[in-house]
Amino acid sequence: MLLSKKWLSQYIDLSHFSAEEIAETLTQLGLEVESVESLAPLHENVVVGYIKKASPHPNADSLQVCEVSIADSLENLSIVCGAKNAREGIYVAVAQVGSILPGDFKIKKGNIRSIPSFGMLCSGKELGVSDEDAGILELPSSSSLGKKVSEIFDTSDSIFDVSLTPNRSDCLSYRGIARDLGAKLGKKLFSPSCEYKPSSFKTAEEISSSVENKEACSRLVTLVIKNVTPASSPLWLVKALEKSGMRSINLIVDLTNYVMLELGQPIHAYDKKTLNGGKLVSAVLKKAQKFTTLDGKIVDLLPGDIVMMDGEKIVAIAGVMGGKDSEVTDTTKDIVIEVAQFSPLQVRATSKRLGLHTDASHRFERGIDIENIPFVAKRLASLIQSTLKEVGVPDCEVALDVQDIYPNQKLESFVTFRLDRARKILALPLLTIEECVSFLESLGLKLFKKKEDQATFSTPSWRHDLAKEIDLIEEVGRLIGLDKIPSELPSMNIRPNEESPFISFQDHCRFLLASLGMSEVITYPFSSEEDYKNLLCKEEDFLWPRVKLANPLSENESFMQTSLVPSLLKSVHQNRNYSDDGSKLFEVGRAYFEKASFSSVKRESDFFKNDLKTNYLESDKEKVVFERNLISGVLDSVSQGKTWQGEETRSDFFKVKGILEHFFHALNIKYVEYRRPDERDCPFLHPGASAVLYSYDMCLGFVGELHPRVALSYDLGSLVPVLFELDLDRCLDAVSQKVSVETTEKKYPAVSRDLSFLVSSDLSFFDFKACVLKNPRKKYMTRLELFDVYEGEGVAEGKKSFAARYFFQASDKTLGENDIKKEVDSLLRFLGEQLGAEQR
Amino acid sequence: MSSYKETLDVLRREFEADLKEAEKSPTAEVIEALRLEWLGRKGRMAEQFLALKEASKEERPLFGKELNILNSLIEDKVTALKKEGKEFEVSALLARPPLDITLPAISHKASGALHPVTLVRQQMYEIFHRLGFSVFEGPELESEHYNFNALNIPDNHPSRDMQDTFFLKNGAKMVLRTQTSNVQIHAMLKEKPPLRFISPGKVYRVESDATHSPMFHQMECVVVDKGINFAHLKGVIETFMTEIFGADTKVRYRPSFFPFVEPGVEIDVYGKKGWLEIGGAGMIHPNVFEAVNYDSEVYTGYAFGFGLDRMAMLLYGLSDLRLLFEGSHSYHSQFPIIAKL
Repeated sequence: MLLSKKWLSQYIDLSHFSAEEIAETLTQLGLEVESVESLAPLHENVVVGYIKKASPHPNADSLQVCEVSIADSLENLSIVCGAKNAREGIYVAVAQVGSILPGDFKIKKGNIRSIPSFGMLCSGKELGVSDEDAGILELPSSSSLGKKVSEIFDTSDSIFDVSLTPNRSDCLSYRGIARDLGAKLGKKLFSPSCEYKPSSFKTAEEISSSVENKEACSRLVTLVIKNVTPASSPLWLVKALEKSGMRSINLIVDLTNYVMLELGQPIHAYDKKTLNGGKLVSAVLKKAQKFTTLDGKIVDLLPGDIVMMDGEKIVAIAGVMGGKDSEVTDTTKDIVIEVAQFSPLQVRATSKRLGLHTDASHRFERGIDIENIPFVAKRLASLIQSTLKEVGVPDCEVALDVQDIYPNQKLESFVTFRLDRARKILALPLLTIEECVSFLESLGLKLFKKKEDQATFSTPSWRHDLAKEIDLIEEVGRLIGLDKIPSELPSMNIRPNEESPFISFQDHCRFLLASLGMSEVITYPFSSEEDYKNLLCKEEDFLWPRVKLANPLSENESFMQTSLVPSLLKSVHQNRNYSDDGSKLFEVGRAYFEKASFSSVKRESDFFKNDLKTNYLESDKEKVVFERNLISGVLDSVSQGKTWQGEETRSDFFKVKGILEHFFHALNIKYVEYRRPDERDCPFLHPGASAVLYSYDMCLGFVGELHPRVALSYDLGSLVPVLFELDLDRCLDAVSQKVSVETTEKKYPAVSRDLSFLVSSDLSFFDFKACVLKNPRKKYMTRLELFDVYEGEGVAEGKKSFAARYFFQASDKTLGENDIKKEVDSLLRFLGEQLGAEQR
Repeated sequence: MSSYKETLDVLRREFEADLKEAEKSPTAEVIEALRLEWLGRKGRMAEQFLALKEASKEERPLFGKELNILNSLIEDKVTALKKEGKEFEVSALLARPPLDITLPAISHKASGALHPVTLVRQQMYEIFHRLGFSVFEGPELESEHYNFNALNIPDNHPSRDMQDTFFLKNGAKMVLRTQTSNVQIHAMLKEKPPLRFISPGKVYRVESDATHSPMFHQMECVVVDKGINFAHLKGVIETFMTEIFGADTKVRYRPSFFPFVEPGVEIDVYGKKGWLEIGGAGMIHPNVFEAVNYDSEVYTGYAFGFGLDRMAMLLYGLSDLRLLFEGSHSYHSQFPIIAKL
């Protein structure tokens, strides 16, 4: 809300406060001033002058050449002037060369029809001090020569931009802000006048107003004013509205706005002749209907909307906006003023639905001062009468009384304040009850009864935010100033609340991947169905996105992700566009699912299965959606990975597997098995270069090269990145609870033998190794390390060789040649039996 | 007559010569060759011991004795040379031409980084853990009840306009949480007071421009116990701020309004660019305690919330909020892995 300091000063004496001090005080009151704009006074080169001589311009009939004195000691200025009232012997406002008038109008030395002119004689309008533009401004003869005109007409002002929180509806007005300032600064308020000269007719004789639903409209005041001959607003009114960010429309509408800004109460004025049947009824709409608002838009009103009706039709959307047909125009003669209170919830619902957020709806939905309504009507009548007079329109006729429909008078509400409680909450042990009462009374609360350190107040009708004791305590704290409250650490029970191990686990995971050379990113979790189509997913997949936003930022961002893969791929693509083709990124994030869809998921896999649990606090049993925690990474292949020691190895499956093995080892996750995935698991990975990861029976996630077809849709070419995605909650479950260490001392040396076996080419190394370790006659072999896999020339079709170094060690002796030979023979035999393997 | 003596002399001389040769470059292989030549099963000494049988009866004991003496001498020399040889190898290794240590590294390029929001969050964990706080996380997909109603933001109330909310099509009244304050409700329903926790996480608002992101990060800090007051709120906030921004950090409190606290304040910190808004705080509203069945006459508490992204930008001097979420490798790889600056 924009506030003019000058206007504000009509309600409170601020003469001793600078704009900065006022801004600081308002901010300290919780009425945050976001900015202060200062409106400059008239330029200092505009001074009082005296026309010593005025003679006709030799070359133009309508112009005069004036000799103007601005100081006895200075030479007269010769100024060409077109105003008819320019004449000898008057005091005028002289804009000397170099001055700047409102509207950034710079005064330069001129030459008008061959006569030089050193400045300008100004009209009231040019100076922005009156509407007068028919001639130049004549100043009183008592004016002293050379005096700055800014000292006579003060056009300076400060405009505060106040950001109000929704609880302070009482401060949506000048008087409300003044009231808070007054309480803080200990100053009295000036009340605006509501005096007017009434006529003899009564409002009720002119218009029959009624309320159909008292919940929808709890008070309705109407007032008829006749003969408000149209006029445009005087300068002060236009300026006042302008400074508060409003445009002038016509005198009547402007004054309703002026009073709304002044007192916070929205007002609507109708052209009386447009109200059919002489009626104005507040009603709740029963059937949907179209309505044309005063800005010419046709809107759909629905049952439940509150409307104002005349004898036949809707004339306004109550509390939101008036109608085209009944608005006050240049031809309006008599008006009906409506000042009311409408249901805040309904006004809000209607204005939200229609997208019509108006100054009126803003105030109604936050709450107005129901007790102040008659005063508002009278204040408006008083201003209309005096302002019309000011602009030269003969007396208008204001009805003798207002018609006031107030079916259920608002009951006073009482709140009890305990000193003890306030002292405890505010940590101010020296607070006294007298102080508190005085603070609260300065805000308009009325002391109802006081017993020792307990006081009961009735709260003012304009404060809707004072419902509980804590609200009064807050007011006391606010007026005392929060900086008066000390600062200390609480002393608490030493028992900490239990923290899920998942909290530190996530950060360990982050740390590990970062230490392995990957950079953490955080991306938006929004995605689209298209993203998952690109990943070759189908609608019946678990992975298909189903958590949908009702109001997304764009179509591409209308679903919540079910995997971090799409956004990581987008990042890789974008990085390649910036020639950064070595992206090594990871992200810890959530995936979002709909529970209801579990039954419809046909392609279930171990990774995507309805047994997910997540490690966050959740007390909502009814929830239809859930979230899983993922950690995902992508390593982009480097296209020209040359280093000074030779080629850099490309990011391939095994490189990423190395990262993961280090990751699992560091986290004490044991027995991670790489199984070949089937189509349901991760359709977006290369079927031959991907794996699903298991720890025992639990599927932790997947790793693999991007499917070439997916790479195509992400425009990633043939050097495909390698991806992995793990369920973090499951990884935590897979962490071994104990650290197992081989404790037997190894006193005797290990011996190794290199052996090479021919096996069927479709045998996985995992199965081969498992078989080796299963040899029942194995006594000394401890481990094997693969150093070659060969398939091709020299090896029979359908066969491959695994060459490995086998290690043997005993705990009680140094192994001799015989021992080794025995063990190798037994291995040869066993692998022969089990796998049909032969030694190569 | 002196034939065995001559033989011994020759042996001695030849061994000395071999030893001298070996000493020039006493690598393990050279010494082993020397040992085999002289002390091996088929070596020179073994040969002589074998030849001993053919010596005359008179000479045999004398020759044998001398041979044994020579044999142990050779053994001693070889052992000594072995010792020397190790030293020699060390010096040989040391004598290797030095590397150009300025050549770039191979296997570990300077890469690997944590996201600035993670780094800042970890710093906060460290501070709050020392103060005895625990960390709780909560859901991002949330019902209006937990995100609004239970936090004293009733249906259709203007205070809902303070946050532009994403709504879900799934289920009735589901939203993306607009604030981490929802965790207050989950935590209070799950735990009995006293409570002392922080809760970080992603939150969402329908806004997207240079200074607003539809997703950002908040951290909530909550204390509930008997006798918690506004001074405690200040105490914890100021301890936290000075830990983060330095001992002479100035903190300012402005009365403000958040429906779930009363009194509510906004918190400003004085920095290079003057006062900067950091977050909001206040004493937990009795209505919130009512929603979780805590007795507000017995327990009081405070809540404090702030933006992690904004904190990260401040601490690391970052200028563009949007860059935090674009996944640029070159941007992110500039950050370190260890939080404390």
